Amino acid sequence: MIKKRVISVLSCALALVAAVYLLTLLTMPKYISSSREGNLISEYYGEVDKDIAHQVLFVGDCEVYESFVPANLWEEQGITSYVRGSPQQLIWQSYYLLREMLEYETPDVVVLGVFSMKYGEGQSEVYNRMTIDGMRWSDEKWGAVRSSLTEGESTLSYAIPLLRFHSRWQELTLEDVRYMWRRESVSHNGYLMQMGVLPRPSERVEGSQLIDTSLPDICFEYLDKIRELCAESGVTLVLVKAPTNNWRYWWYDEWDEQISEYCESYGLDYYNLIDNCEIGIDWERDTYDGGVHLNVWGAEKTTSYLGRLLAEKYCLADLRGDAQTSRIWQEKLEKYKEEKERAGQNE
Amino acid sequence: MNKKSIKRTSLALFITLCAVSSIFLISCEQTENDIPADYFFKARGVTVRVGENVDNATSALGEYNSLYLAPSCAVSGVDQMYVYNGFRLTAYPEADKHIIYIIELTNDTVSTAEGVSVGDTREKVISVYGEAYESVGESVRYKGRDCLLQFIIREGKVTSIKYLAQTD
Repeated sequence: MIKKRVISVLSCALALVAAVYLLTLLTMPKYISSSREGNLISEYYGEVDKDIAHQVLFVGDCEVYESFVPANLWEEQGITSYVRGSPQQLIWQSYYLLREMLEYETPDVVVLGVFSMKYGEGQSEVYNRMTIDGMRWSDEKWGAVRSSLTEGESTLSYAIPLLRFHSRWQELTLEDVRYMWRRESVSHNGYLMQMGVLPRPSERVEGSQLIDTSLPDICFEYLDKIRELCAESGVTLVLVKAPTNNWRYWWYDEWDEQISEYCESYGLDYYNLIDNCEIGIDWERDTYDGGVHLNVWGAEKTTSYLGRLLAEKYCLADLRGDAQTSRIWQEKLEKYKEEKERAGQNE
Repeated sequence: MNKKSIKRTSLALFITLCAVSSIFLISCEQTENDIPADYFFKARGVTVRVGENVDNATSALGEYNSLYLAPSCAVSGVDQMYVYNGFRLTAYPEADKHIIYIIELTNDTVSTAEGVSVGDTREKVISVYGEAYESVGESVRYKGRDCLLQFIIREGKVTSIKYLAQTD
């Protein structure tokens, strides 16, 4: 009698869990036809599951996933890399993502985009979701959740996303059913290709003056954690500011000084690529949104420049001579070029 | 009811009345300083406020010098910045309109409604707006009813004036 009851209860519980799981898969945004950036974080696990390691890992926000092209880095320097970027990725999220990646692999170099150092607190639930929901269950995911919550958000909704997304029930499309279990990759090793061209205005508009030009203390706390994590893992940390500098996302001289001072005191390299003529950015054709982000041509130029730097300064091995690595990366490069050509024809 | 109990009841009533009156007086007493000021900007005879639809403001203000756009990282929506002589309006997208969240005075050809301009001294700012400010270094900001009024001050002089949406 008791045995029957136990089995009955367990069956109900299992059915409930299965139902919640299926409904979660159905209602969570798929980020395919819009906001593709929402898929970037989870795509890294495709590399993990195939046991593919990388010499360079990039972490950061849109400045990183739209400025650095792993396929280009491979083609020109034989360097393998992955860009673990996401929209408005905050510095503490970068820390937890990096910590997670270092559980899987040990690169030679980590390149950290510094723009997120301006945000001392959580900004947007939408962007939090795009970064955190794509992470697999881990201590790092919980760390990212706890440090990122904005007003109105709950930890439980990250544990059971159905609590957050059940209202999408009314907005479901075929796309939600089609991509419940599996999605095609939207990026090329984390680089999100943009083919549009919208020139930056010729008249340069600066960001408005700030009442407080100090970068938040909490950001330096997490930068310390990232630095220490890299040091413990024997990884070289390099800081970078992408070439873009738009009035809405302005990189102030005062911030640049603070980052430079920090790097000087800890012996880190920092490359501010704004107005770097050697890169050769043409603001008439290398941006798809008026100078806020780079398109594929701007990103390839930026990657070429950084790639030369990485190869020369950090003695990264050219792996084009390794048969297995070459086979994997040749396939990635061909896929990248195919999309570039296909997208170019559609523009 | 005997005389003693009437006296006791009256005393109790009187004390209660005094207590209640005091509470009212304390909570309702408002000085001029307690009522948040209504900060707004005026240019070309037009009153412009943070929080209003930018289309209403720009229609009333007339021709602008430039319009700059900046999209967000991933979600749809584009911030707008309208540049006029001496000031600029920045707006964020909300539903089918754009809402002003920053009004910035950029030179001394315009002034606040209270008569302070870029280039004025810190002393003038405080003499006009009072002592109820928050200091951030040399700079000061005042909390208004619907916005923050911020004076960025370097070496004793105002270098920028901003009306900002309050985020808390």
